[in-house]
Amino acid sequence: MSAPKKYLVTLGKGGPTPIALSFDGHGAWKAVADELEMSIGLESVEGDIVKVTVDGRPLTLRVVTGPDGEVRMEKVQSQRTGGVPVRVRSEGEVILGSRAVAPAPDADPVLVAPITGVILAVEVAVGDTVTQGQPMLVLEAMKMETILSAPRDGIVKTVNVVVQDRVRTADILVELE
Amino acid sequence: MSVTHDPSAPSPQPAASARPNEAEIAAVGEARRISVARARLEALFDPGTFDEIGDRVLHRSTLFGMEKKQIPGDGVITGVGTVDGRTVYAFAQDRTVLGGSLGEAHALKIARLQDMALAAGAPFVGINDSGGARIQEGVEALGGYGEIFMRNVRSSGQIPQISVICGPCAGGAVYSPALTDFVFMVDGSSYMFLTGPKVVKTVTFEDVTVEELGGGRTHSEKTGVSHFLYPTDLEALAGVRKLLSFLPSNWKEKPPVMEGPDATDRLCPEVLEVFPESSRTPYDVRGIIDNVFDRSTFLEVHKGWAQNIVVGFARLAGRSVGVVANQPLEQAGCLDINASRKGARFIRTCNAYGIPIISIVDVPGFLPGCDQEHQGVINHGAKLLYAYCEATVPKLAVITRKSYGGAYIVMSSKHVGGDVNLAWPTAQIAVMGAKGAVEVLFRRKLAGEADPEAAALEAERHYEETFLTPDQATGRGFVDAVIEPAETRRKLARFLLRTETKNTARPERKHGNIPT
Repeated sequence: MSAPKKYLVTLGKGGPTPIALSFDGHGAWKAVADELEMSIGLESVEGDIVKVTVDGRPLTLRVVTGPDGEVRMEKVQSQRTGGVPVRVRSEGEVILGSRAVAPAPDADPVLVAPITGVILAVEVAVGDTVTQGQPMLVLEAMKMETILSAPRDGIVKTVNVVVQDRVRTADILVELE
Repeated sequence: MSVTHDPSAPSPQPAASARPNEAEIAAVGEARRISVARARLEALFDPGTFDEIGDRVLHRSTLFGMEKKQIPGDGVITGVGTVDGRTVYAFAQDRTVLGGSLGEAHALKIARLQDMALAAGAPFVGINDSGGARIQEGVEALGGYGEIFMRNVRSSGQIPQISVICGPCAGGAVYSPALTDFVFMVDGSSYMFLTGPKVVKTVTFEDVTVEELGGGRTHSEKTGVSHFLYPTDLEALAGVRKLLSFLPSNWKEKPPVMEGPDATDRLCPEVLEVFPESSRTPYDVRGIIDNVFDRSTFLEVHKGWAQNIVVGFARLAGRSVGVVANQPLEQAGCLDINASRKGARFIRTCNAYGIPIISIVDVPGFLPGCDQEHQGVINHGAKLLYAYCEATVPKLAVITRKSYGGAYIVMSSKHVGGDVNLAWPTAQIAVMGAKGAVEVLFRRKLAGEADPEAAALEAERHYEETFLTPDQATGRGFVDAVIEPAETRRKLARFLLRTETKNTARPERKHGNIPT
């Protein structure tokens, strides 16, 4: 008997149920959910039709994966309903897929000149609310216009340049609150 | 579980829906404290294919009460399995066993696995999560690192080596990842540095957090030590699987070919929607890459660092290729120290593993200034030049717009061994831009004119007509053909297929001497 591997199974709108699966080495799996214990045998997989036995009783299921990765399952014998969404995550996937530690803090609230050049346009004023990536200044350097965008969300606290100013690499051009 | 995995099927990128939800995280609860090392290996390998080696190895240390702290495996899981059906060797350090600290037995397990991977000609993946050298073992622990480093270097260029940093990696431990081909980090939970914040504080009086000193963002944006940054372990390990799909198992093999649904002879007029009419207007070169190469195959390397050059793997006609593109969106697309280092490293990686290099050129030159010159841009720029000259894989290039001066020569020109060099009609190939050139060429003559400004404009116009087109270069055979932008995909794909059998003899020598 292999060591049980733990999964969280969510059916429809229910909460996740922990299920431990172990392989008996003879073609059957033992599934333990809460106090319930079942022996499951996989008979065949043909297309989306999966035939299993549960404690010896045959069960035929249709398992369909949607384009968004959602898996739906229904009994073939029952009336077709489109199935119930099924979500299965191994315990390892849940542990590795959740952030262990809070993400690193956002970027500094200052916009610095990435390259020496001349300011061609100023598109924000003190007090403006900006979102990350929003263009704030246009700088000309190496015969090319460079658009300088907000490093993070915020409110403009100071604008240290006007059009035609010459700026040097690392000069602070705009500060956010 | 079946092992008849179809190797031609690429690993799917984990969709956002693959992420665990709050209810699942809560349901796992206490289990979060168990060893995650094994879960990481399961996430890396095809289901059920991992076979462990050396799970009962014990250390032989007797100092500081260590004889009472015996845990089979000694804090690292080593073994072999398959990724998309191909053999891969991997270890995962286990921080729940003696802090994942590296002692002699732990190190020799890793070293032995490295020997096996090299002998088998299979990629090697190291999942790092360790408190560092096991202090109780003294020089034996240090020697252990040395054994690993030596094998990292011996394997370099023979088998792909990938390091995944999932927790601490400090002191001597950082040098093994640094010697490998690629480093993955996880945002917020991994860090790398030679000396930690406490020592930094006593020596330099700097107050710095672990995250600022050596977190994932620091190494992905400031230092370039990390090639890939992902929000979680699960996504990082899926990223390793995707990266492996572009690489051969070893330098003598070819990377897997994965022909997708994207027709090779498809026209790509969409590139003109990205490409501005004015040569002064910036654009995101990734918009060109996305439309030229097989759809949704581009895997950007070093995304956050030296963004004035874009490098990464993509597929064209199903073949794995390395893409090197100037990025006009950042620093006008100039080459500088970091862009040169990034490009050079990527080109050498591609060349080592037989992956053709396709360059998309729009570069106004090297970045001028005291800062760059005094930090040695000459030597760093020479690395990029060296890498292009040295590479014997097929080298294709498309000049879309500017290609000036030294940067023209460096960026895969025919002179440094470019196999097929194409240009769009908008290409401008010259020693420098019109204004600067006229100032140099006609300064005296213009001073004598009645209207120097008008004369200068006339001279600039003449210069532009002469040089700011691909004509002079095509006339000399330095550009092989001028193509319509919409033909770029079709032409590159056909030239790629017709150069992939290229075989270049290399000069006999011990090794070249790349500038540092």
